[in-house]
Amino acid sequence: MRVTKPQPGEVTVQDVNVALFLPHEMLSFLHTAEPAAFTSKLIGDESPKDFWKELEARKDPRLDGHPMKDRERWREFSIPIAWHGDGVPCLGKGGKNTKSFEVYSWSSILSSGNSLSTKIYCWGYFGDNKDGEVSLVPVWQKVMWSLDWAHRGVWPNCDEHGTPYPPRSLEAKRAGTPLAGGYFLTLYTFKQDLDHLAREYGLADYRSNYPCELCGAHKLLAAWGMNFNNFNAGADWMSTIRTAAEWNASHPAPHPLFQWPWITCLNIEPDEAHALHLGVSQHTLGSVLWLLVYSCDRLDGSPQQNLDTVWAAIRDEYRRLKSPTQITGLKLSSFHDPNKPYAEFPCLHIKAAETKDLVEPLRAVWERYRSPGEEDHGFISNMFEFLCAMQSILHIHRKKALLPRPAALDFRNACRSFLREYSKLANSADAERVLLFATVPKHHWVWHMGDRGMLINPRKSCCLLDEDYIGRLKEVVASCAHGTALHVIQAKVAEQYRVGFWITTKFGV
Amino acid sequence: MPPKKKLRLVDLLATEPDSKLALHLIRKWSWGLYSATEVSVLAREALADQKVLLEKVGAPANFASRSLEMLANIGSQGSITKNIYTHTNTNTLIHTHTLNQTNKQTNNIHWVQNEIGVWYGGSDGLIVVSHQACMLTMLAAIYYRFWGIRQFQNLFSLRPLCGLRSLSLERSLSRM
Repeated sequence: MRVTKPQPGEVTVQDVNVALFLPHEMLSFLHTAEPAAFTSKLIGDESPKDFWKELEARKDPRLDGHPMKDRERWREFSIPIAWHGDGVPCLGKGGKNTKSFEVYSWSSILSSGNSLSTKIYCWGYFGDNKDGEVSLVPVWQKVMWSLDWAHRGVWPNCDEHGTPYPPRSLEAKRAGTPLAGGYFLTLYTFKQDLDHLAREYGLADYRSNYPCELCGAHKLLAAWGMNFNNFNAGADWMSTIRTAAEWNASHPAPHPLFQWPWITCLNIEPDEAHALHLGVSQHTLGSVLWLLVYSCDRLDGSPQQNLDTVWAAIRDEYRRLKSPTQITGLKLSSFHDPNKPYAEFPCLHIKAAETKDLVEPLRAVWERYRSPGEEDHGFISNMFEFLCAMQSILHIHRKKALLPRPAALDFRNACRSFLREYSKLANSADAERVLLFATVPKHHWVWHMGDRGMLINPRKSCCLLDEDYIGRLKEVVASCAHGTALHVIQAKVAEQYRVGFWITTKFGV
Repeated sequence: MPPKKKLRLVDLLATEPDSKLALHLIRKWSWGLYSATEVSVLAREALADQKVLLEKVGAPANFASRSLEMLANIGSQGSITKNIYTHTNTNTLIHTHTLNQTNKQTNNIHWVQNEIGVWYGGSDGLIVVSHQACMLTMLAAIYYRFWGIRQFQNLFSLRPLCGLRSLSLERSLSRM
């Protein structure tokens, strides 16, 4: 790794000890030392058997050729886990010297609860210490070795290089014995934002002409049928959803996390928090607010007066609906540049949870002030209806690993209908040469989210919990950073986290 | 001279803490919400309370929580024993001599305000005010020492960082 401030006479790139919480050891620790925590953290309220049986019934392509199916009673003992990776700015925040700490953690898909009671840290490092992808290969090798043995469910008989343990050593004595009474971990989904997907895993960049890893959609205008923001039923790209074999063939040297043939793009889950709340919903709410403030017939004051009226109405709706996460104020600059109201697409910049809980109140406000005769206003009402339906389905079934089949179908239909209504509004705005209802790659990911809703509850692949978790780790990193070299901080963080994890596990959050 | 025995917060987990407060303090420290200094200071105060109570009921002082005692002995970086307090129950305001001596040796001196509003000076051998009643007198003394209201305001308007207010004492002293 690259050492930012080497001692005199030392080279910049050095071997650095990296602290890891190996998943197979954590599995064993929880099962043997803290059985109650094992149940709450990894098994949760749902039975693994029911989960896997339902997925088999729904013909989940991720199970095709999966090696665990060769084992006896695998449905009872396989614990599906979600892997999360993200960076969090910890030091020098706000300036050009901002240093982000990349955090990798995992959690069981079956469990539910708050971030500290469900998530388990694996490792982390500062991006500034990374000396190219090659520098992290030994770490990933060790992580994958651990995940491999956690998947086998027994203690390893060799180290990560394949060297057998010396006879009579502790490792040799326990080799082959069960880690957790037969339970094993199955890496099943990946959660992250789109930026992390491209930056750390080297997959499709959402800013490129080919923004989607899951299908062949692109941004080239030549073939409209393949365009990523064409949501008409039967668009060409909808028939190019990649299979595991196709993805493996097109990625001969993937990131180490994707080295197993049964881990492919099918395991990458669209994230509700980033794609829906921080993407689609923010663009939608921004455009609707713009319309209310600048072009609503029933609000004829200045933009600021109109916004004050809208905000008063939103507060009334907050009170009526008892929204759990409310914004405390709304300015013109919250969704666009008031000095150049026609120069850019509006987008409401608030937090994900705030966005989620603003949709329903703004819908009610929109219904109060819209013009009944206008066709576009009808599209917006429809769009709100579908967006609220999506949120409602996810909220009702928020604790389940799988949406019930009717709910999954409703969710998919709501996603597709929403995107179609949104496209109509975007096209209408284009025709009128107004910058409203921007279509971004996140809209495309929402389509995939609806499609995947049958195979996993999108709320389970939502990063809101993970964002909270890395926020807590940020505090730990900041408290360890004082007077410590950048490349050593991750070791101090691990030492401190060990204490926090133990207390949380033993005594509760 | 044998090397100083190092005591670290993480070592305390060899045994289960016998005090809810100790557990709470370690939890806060482990999630980065309290610094080791703050943990030590709060443990020290709680331990002093326990000892006073034990004395009142005529019980021996070693009935006090061992976990709190260990936490109270943690140093500012969590690695050096007994380097926050040198005296207890002292009403000394600011021990200028000690400050100046320390000032020459280390620049890791911090001013810390804990939850009950008592001000402490930083690390090795620094005298602290551990009696709440002295708060106003101490503030008055600091105000008197600083030559203008602005510096006084600057000193006390610092934003908390991880629950602590910190300021290089070296810089503050240079203004005196």
